Amino acid sequence: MGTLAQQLVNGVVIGAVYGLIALGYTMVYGIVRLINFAQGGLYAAGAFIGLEVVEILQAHRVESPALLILAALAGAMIATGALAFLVERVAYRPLRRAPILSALVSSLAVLFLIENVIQLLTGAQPQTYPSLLGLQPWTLGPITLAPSGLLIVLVALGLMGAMQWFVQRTRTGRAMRAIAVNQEVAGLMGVDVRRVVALTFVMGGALGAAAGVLVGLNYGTITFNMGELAGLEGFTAAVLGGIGNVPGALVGGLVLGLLQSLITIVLPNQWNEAVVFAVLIAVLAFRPRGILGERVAERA
Amino acid sequence: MTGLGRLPLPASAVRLWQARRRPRVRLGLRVGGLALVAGFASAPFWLGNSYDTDVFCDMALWAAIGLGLNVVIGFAGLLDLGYMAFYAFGGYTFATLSLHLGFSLWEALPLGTILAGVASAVFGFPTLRLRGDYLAIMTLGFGGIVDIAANNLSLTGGANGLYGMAPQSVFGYQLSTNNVIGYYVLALALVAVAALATYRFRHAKIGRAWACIKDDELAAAASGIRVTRCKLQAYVLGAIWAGVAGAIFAAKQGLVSPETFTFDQSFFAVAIVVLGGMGSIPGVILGAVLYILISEYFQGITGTYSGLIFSVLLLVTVLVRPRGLIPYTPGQRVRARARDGPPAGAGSAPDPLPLEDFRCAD
Repeated sequence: MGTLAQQLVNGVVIGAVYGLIALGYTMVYGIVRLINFAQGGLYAAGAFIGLEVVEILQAHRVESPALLILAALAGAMIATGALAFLVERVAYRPLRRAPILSALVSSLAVLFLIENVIQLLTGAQPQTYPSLLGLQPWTLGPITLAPSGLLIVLVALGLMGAMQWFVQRTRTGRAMRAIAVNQEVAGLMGVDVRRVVALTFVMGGALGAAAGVLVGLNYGTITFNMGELAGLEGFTAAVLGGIGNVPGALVGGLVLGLLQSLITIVLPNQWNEAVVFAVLIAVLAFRPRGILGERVAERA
Repeated sequence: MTGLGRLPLPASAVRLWQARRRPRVRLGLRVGGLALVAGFASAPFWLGNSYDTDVFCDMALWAAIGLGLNVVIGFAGLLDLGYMAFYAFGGYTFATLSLHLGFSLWEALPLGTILAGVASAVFGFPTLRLRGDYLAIMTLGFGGIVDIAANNLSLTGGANGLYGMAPQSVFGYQLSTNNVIGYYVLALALVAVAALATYRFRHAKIGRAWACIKDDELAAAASGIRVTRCKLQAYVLGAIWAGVAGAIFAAKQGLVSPETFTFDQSFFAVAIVVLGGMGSIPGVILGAVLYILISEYFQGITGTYSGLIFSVLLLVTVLVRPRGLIPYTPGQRVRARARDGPPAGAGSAPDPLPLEDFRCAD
């Protein structure tokens, strides 16, 4: 019973991370219909930028953990957002009218480019994140929860709510939804398509960066290729919840996280990732619109 | 000529460039090119260094893989990000049968390819109906599952893989795994077979159906092409070929391990095809040569520059030269004739009409 409850808690924490990465995919896919493979790379870049911010501030004798965490999150989100802007400008915008294959390959190339740059700058060894939130986890009966776990869930929920509000309630959000329905017509109605698409990529990158920093804080180590698997897990969460759907990202993330941590009770740990892949294939094959998705994935 | 006029080049250079179309010059260029290719391909024989031979053998094997994947991506337009999983099927089948039952490479090869083919058909049947980007991600997932299974099953030897297979022979000739010149010849034969077979496939009925599906699936279906079946055929054909290459690779290495079948490897296979030119047979071979040259040349420095350079090269290619380094341009000959006049003995054909932009919009 104790392990079950513990696994549920772990599942919610990891699910929140998946949800954040999924949110980045969903924003981009919902609007330009492109699986942005570079999302995983942006997530890794965010984690490393956050670490860099923390190290620089610590070198300048900033001690307050709250300040450090805030600075790491803000710095990583801004810098990765800028990186995503650059990526959109260089690698996607010229391919907007090209076959989908070109854009997919281009985003894969960007993923590998980011990974290789990180590896060149920091080396292949895992990097250690400072534990800023204190080492004592809270215990409640048999369940333990690290403070960073709670932080992940809170930040994920906050960003998710902010996104939902942004997409549904602001003028730019309405422009995004219009572009999702029909890019050409939205343009004719006076929406600055290029600007809004660029903004979407920036937001996706910033969300990925937030997830990267939070994962670093929670698990303590980051590696240059952390984005490959996390990107796939995030994408699975997005598809599971219904890609293009903001609340769906959170639902998909939580379901996937819970499933993954509950499965460890039956299966050895190494098979964990196989579960993700199996869920991905099953969902795409049998229910491509996901749990909450309104839009049916177009069949050829 | 197109585009060249825009560059600020001296007139003599432009004239030199234009001279390449004169029949005698063209013949000379072709002979020269062939000699260059033959010289390059035979390099291991006169270099005689076992390390270089190994590099060339990898090149030829990657070219064979690329040509197989070219059918899937270049001909049928299916983005397969888990292609190396089928390579793994071939390799592991050979290794397992060789270690436990003493099978030779030639006895294990058919079984490995059948297994790869069956696996691809079982996986491809439900998934090939999905649209392009979903298919890409599903093949990625499939590759991931195979990778994890190879890492964790006892049958496949876990992360260490399987090793210690008996040395193989072909027509009584012993293939050494120390100096792999024998395997190099085998791999060259593989490339030749793949190039010839895919060339024939392209011009067969199925090849035209693939081209049609790639251009417009809806129109293809409307013209009576069974889209899913044709796609499945391309996918299974590619997988079978990967199985063959995988078994030979395993025999050459004397080892199979999960490292050789990761997502990265599948990505590089895709990159070779896209870089060289989707659908282009010489292009894909060039892509494989470039890939191995870059990874060999830059490996010595830190081991990571090669990935960086290769991904930049790929990105630049997709953006600047989307059809690859040596593009496949169907109907090229027809257009060349329209441009240059009749080919036979028409050495001094007058300058043609301005038909420079007589090419299909893509």
